[in-house]
Amino acid sequence: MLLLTLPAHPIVMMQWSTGTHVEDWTSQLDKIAKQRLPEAVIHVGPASQ
Amino acid sequence: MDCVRRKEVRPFEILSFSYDSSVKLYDPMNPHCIRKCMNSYGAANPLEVAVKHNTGLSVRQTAWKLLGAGRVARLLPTLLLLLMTFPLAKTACGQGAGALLGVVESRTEEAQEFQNIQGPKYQTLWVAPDATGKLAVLATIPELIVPRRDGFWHAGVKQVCEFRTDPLGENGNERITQVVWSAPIAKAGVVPITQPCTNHAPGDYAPPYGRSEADKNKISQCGFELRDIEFASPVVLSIRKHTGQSEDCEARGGRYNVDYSVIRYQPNEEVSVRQMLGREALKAYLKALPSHGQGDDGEDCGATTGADTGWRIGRNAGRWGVYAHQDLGYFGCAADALVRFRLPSSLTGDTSTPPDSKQLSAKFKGYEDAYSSPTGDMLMVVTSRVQELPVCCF
Repeated sequence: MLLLTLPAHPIVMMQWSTGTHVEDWTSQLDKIAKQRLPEAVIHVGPASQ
Repeated sequence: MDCVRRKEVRPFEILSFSYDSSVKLYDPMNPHCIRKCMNSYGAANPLEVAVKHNTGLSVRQTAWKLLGAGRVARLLPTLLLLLMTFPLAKTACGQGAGALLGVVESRTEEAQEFQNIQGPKYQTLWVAPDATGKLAVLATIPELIVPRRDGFWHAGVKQVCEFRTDPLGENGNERITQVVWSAPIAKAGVVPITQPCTNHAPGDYAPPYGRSEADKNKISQCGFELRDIEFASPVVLSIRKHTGQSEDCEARGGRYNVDYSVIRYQPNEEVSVRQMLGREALKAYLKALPSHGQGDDGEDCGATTGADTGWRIGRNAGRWGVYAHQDLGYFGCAADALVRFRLPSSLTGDTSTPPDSKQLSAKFKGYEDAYSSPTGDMLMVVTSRVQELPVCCF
């Protein structure tokens, strides 16, 4: 039996990985999920948008 | 709905079940059936849908039923999906691919009170076979994580408050702006602003109109610029911008604008259709663009122009497609149309073949969209009419 749970929200990105890249992505994304990513910082200066 | 019905939905057999208040969403006619399904498969979550892998078919095909993209998602934000294959399956499904799924956890929301305006939140899920070969969500990250040529990046929207003095220099205004940022995964995104707001006592603020002499030098809080990321790929982000006013500054209502743009990563510069896709795309854009825009009530509200900076990327027929969009004024006045131009996979990052929507529509009530893996062994189906999902017992 294969079980999978996903949250139900609108999708903005779907990127697939295949072959040996799957294992590589698993390793990298596992590390990313375990670390605290740097938060966006404010820079006072000319706005770009 | 009885068990005989399941034969009609091959090759994808759908089991949906839940309990408590959500039961009626799925099958108000047969709650007993739902409970029985839950018992059979040991389902523990109240909001689950199972899609059974059909072992009798020649190709490995699995459907994931993503519920509630839209209305239902707002009603049931914790809605979960359960995908199942049966022990008799010849091969575990989805072993050849992994899916990196970026989703909107909550969209930006305007509010009458400045303090209540909220920025959007995103989430990324990595769905791939685990160590035992079973498909699972192996990582959940509370940001958009995008695979780019030089590694993973993260992207999001940060809400800031900007202060501006008026031309006379007597008082000032605070404005809420949401800014899209992106950066390599180990770095912080940078959000440039001209002058940040500073702390003030509540008594320092006053609405800009009808002020008394005592209030004339107080600070107003007018104007907000809200942004949502609607599409993310390794090359671009498609952004929706909603500009409006709080009640204190514009009591008449309807004075808002919605515009779209596509931006590159760092610097987050807007790119036009021609810049990004070339001359042929520009031709197709101009051909698709209506001569006039329409307002909220369908009224003609002005002529479009030849500018190609307003565009967005959205889903159409199982693919990411180009939409021309021109914001022409208040009251939703805009022109929006699908452009007949195929987005290159180098821009979308998607090399898969679109699923057969006719076949899927026949099999999934409320079918809205589907995503197929490049290897064709995994399929995600998005529906909206959750309450009409077939429910079967075994």
